[in-house]
Amino acid sequence: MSETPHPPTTPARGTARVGRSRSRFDATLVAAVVVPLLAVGASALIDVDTPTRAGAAPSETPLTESSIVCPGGGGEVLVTSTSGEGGSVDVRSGGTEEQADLRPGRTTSVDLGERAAVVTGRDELAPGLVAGRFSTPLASFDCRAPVFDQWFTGVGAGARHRSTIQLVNPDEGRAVVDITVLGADGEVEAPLRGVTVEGESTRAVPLAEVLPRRDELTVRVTVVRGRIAASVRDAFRGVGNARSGDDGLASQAAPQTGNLLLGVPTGAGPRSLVIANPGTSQGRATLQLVTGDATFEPRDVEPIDLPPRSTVVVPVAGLLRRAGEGDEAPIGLQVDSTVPTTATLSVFVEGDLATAVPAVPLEGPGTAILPEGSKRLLLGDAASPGVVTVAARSGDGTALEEQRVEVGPGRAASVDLPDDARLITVTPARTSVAGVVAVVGSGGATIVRLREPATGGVVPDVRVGAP
Amino acid sequence: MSAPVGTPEVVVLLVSHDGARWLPGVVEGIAEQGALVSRVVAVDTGSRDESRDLLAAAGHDVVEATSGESFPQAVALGLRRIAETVPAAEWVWVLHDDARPAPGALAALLEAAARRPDVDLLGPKVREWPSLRRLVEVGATISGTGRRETGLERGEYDQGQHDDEREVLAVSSAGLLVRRRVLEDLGGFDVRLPMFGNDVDLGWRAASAGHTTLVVPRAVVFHAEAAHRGTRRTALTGRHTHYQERRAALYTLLVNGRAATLPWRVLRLTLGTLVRMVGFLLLRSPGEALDDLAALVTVVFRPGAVRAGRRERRERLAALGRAPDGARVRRLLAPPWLPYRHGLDVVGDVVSALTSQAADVAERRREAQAELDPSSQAAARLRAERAAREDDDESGLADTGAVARFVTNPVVLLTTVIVVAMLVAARTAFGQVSGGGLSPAPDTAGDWWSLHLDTWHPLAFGTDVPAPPYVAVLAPIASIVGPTATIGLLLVLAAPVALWGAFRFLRVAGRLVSPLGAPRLLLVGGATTYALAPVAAGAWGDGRLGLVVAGALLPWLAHAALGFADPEPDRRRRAAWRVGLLLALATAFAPVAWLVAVVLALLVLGAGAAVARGAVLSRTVWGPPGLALAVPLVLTAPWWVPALVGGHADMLLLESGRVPSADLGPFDVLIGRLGADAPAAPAWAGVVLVVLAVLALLPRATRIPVTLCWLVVAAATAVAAVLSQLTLTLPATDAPAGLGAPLLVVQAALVTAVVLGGQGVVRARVAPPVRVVAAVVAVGALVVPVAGAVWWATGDDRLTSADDAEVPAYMLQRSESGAEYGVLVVRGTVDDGFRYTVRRGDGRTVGEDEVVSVTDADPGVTATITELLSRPTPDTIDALAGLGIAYVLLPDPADGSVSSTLDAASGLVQASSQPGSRAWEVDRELDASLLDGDPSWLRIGLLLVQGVVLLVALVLAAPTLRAPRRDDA
Repeated sequence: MSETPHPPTTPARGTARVGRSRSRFDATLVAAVVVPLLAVGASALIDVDTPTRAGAAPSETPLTESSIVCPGGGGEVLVTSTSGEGGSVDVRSGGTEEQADLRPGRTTSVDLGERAAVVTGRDELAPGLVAGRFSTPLASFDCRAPVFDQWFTGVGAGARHRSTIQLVNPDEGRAVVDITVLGADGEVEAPLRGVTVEGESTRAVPLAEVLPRRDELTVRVTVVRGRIAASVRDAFRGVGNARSGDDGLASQAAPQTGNLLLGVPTGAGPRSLVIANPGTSQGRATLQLVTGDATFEPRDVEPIDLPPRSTVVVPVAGLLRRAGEGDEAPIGLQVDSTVPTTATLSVFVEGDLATAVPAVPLEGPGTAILPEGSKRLLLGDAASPGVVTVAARSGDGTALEEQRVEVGPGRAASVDLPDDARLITVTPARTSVAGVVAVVGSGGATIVRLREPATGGVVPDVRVGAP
Repeated sequence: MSAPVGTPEVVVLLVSHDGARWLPGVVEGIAEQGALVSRVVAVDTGSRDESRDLLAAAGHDVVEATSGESFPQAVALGLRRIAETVPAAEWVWVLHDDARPAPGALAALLEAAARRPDVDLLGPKVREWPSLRRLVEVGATISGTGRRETGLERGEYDQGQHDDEREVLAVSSAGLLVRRRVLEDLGGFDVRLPMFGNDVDLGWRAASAGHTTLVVPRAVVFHAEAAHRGTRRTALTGRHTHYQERRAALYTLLVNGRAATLPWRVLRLTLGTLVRMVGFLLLRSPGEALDDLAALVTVVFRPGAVRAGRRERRERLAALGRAPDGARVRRLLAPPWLPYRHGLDVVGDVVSALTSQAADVAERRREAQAELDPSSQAAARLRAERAAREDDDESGLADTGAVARFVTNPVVLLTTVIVVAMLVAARTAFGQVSGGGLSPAPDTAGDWWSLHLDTWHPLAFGTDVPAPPYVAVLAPIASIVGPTATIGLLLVLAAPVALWGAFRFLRVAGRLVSPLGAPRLLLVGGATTYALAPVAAGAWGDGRLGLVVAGALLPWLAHAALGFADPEPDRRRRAAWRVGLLLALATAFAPVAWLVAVVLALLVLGAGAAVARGAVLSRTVWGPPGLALAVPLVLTAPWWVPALVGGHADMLLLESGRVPSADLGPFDVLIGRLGADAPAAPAWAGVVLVVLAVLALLPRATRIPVTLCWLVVAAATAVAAVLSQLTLTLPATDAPAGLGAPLLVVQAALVTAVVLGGQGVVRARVAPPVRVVAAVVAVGALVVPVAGAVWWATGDDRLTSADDAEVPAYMLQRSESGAEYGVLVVRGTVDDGFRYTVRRGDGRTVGEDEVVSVTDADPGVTATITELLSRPTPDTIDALAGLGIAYVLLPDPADGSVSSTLDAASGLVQASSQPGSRAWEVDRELDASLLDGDPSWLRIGLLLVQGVVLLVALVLAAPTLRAPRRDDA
């Protein structure tokens, strides 16, 4: 092995015979050390981190058409617009269609019988469209735009407590919903997958007939195809008068770990809290009372165990009865849980059923059409200290007194409204606040939620996708 | 014909033309026949040398003719002289001036003639002059393609293997013993065949007339074939001997064949000529190709000669009162399958030549050095080795059969086991395969062809982005075996092919370093490690077809590149074309490979310039590597030029297959892993290889080549480091540059370093303690391929045979019926935004990923789809139909608000889909012309250039199958 090996890739043949001096040998050694170090060094520089492109939020756009569906069963449909514009909107019910003339601030009533009604506003009347529907003894119907996923907590399918799900399809095409039911012991097998609702029709699902059972239930309605406005009509038929009554059961968009139920009535009477844990893990809930000054945990109240995928009923009559009165009277019930839950508080006032579900905090002006009766505005869940302006109008559009209410986190506020107020607008400043109006009158009681009317549409961010 | 009594009278008819070189021998040979020759009539056709004097001095009867007289005319002249001077002559023995009869040749012929009185023409066994041992001819016939068939191998030695007397169609005119009367009856040789092929024609005519031609192998004539070899040029042969031979063959076939078969013969010869021309072009013999064409044109398109010849033959037969003896002729002509066997032989020759091209670079370098310095020790050793090898040949390996050699060779057995294991481990790739970076194969090869050849593709919403270059490679393979099998074959065979190539490369590299080379077990270990590198890196499991194929090509490319070290400039040029072709292939599959090649070439030339400036400045040194780098540029031009012009430069650096490819972390290139997420072998196996490569620097004997390997590692890593700083911003996603090619080069260089270092340890007689350490390291080294193989056989990959079932079957069926029935797939939610893609035809298949990935989103299209998803109007649906969309699909989980929007849109009809997803059909008429675009003449031109350059490169890269005609004497 005496000859100098040829570099395998050097084409310079016969020219490698340069003097083999000691310094050349050293150069070889140096190269043998330096070159690998260079290679390792270069490889250490390689660190590719290709960013993944995040999606963008949708952009706002003016609304050109909006629809509100009022479930069937009540009386005349009350319509108004907060857009400040006048004009006519379509009100459709079954085969009949009417035009309702709206004027700013005024509440227009349209009588189309008991069937479900679809109110459609176009162009300048599309934003700010609000509708309401009530019945006697006092009960409210949740008039709202169709949503795709909602939870109804504390529905009944027995002889004493029976609930009916009403599915309204406002469009021409067929719509399909999936209904899942959670009972006391977990998910209930129910033939409610793929419930079809033909175009422009209403379908009622009387739960007592579909799945008769005695425990309190939680229902999730998911729209699979088309648009559906789902609502639940709750009815209690007790032996005594004290536990009878009807009301609409409002829905909750999604389970959450903190639920504030506004609308705790004063005085004694049956009150029950229903909590649903739709998750697959065991949870635990604690109750707190929210007053005008503070939020506190009452004595002698044990935490509530929430088994997975179940609905739990908690009697809270005693708890509320023991609470203070006057300024210290509880306005809301705060349910905090270790897992996301949904909740409903059912109370009987004046011998009539009223249900309270968590209200969505208002970021901007929230509105509600109110029935006749004595009214009290309840505000809570404020994100930070702030001021809320409360403006009320009578049925003919006359502005009634305007009030400013201070709100803050951890406390609620109660504001008496004039009896003839038919339209209320609540505008939070520097904060967000949830609000409901508790109404007593016409031989019953109900709780009306304040909502932000749709004022704009969204245009999603659309891009070409990776193949 | 009555049997002669006693010795018949034989006259030698010798035709000479400038044959002074051979004539003394010929005259001597004639003299050696003794008294059997009664007279010699020599016809000299105007020789300008001393031929005539030589003949006259020998006492022969010299007939003088002009140089314009052809061989047939000379024979006719001689016959006339014989008739005048020796009217009793019964036999004429025709000899050429370069044909020397062996002693006893005439006696043997006459003895056979006496034994077989039915025979009228006899021929000797013709052996090569001056080699004397090689057979030229033992009788001849002609095949249907006009080839002269002797039934001999090229350069076959005469060992008595053809010594049976038998009837043949024709014998060579050199040594033909023919009854004078028969020759006269047949009209002698045909004057229309002045030089070549007239003996076959004569034989054919004789057979047709019912005469028997016998070859008598006991009689031997040595023939220099001066005219055939081009040694002797006359006015008659001209410069184009091939043309003359071919013309003679065509004429012979047409003039003697049956009239009924003439149209068929003309057709066959025309087509055959075209095929032969292609063959000659492939062998880089354009002159012979033109000769072939010219011969065809002369014979077929000037039918006068053929017509006259046919008439003459008819009349002579009629004069003899005989019917053509068709049965005899058919029996003696070559069998019809013979030309096809020759075709197979040629293919075999090409393959063996291809596989052994660069193998002996090391050998030739040593020889060249030995020549430069014959007194050196190396030269002495070379001579000794050669002598030893010849002894080996002599001692006869013949008695050990191939099977015995196979079974008794542990290296071969081991390799077989490894290859079988590789095939088993690659079982996922059998059948339909996709997943990871690999899209499914298209349905037909035609899809790939049109992807390659079309300048406008009905993908997405129509695009002029050029197809990736590897499609041009896949398409022809798929035309033979089908697209699915193409992908499967490439994935399955890549590792064995890489193993083979790596073994060959490492063997030559080892020999370049020292003459003995590396031990074969070391070679097998190294080759296996490299062959598994693309698998261990995760390229295989991730379906990175481009990297897998490039990995298989790399060792072959390196092997071909060793040809740059060849001492002969011509071989370096051939190597350049081969490297260019292979680099073009590798670049087609892994574009970054070209960049690495450029950097390596610059590095090597730069290093060479530092060592020996003058040598590198020579064009024969830097030219070939430059050519090799230029060839891929031209061959992939239909891809990169339109990509650059169209603003899709990102495409040039992308890894092949679906985007984005993996992100690589620090040291990943060195340890050979395609990022943390790749389905790769454990990283420690890669670390072991790096450690071994570092240890390989220790043996002093091989330190320089191992350092050079590390230099390659450093260069490739540097390329990767630079590229890793780039983020390619594609319309839909960001992607890293493809670092797979540098990674594979690094792995190859590391393996080479380890093998060369191992060779240094084994070959250098190191001290025993060091040997023990080396042995331990060797066992440790085994871990790398074994771990890779075990992981491959057991580990997970992302390849699957399942088709993704997101799009309902009925939509697929419709979309396959035409490009205009696209399925718009929209993923996402209103809150996080939507991403749309279009599925057309048979979906996104191999080759289309890159095209679609870099196709810019048309703002108008995005606006239409935004409108569709937010507030669709009938106009929106019209626009959608105008984009060639038949269905809109929202896969699971479908956004509810968009679903309801689309449910309410008029012009969209709800369609069925899988649970959780939603689909609508566009209720509009769709037109196939929606996706049409303008052709790009630039790309069409580049495709033409590509085709031409590919042909030229193939021809120029082809191995030398035969030596050009040279003076043998």
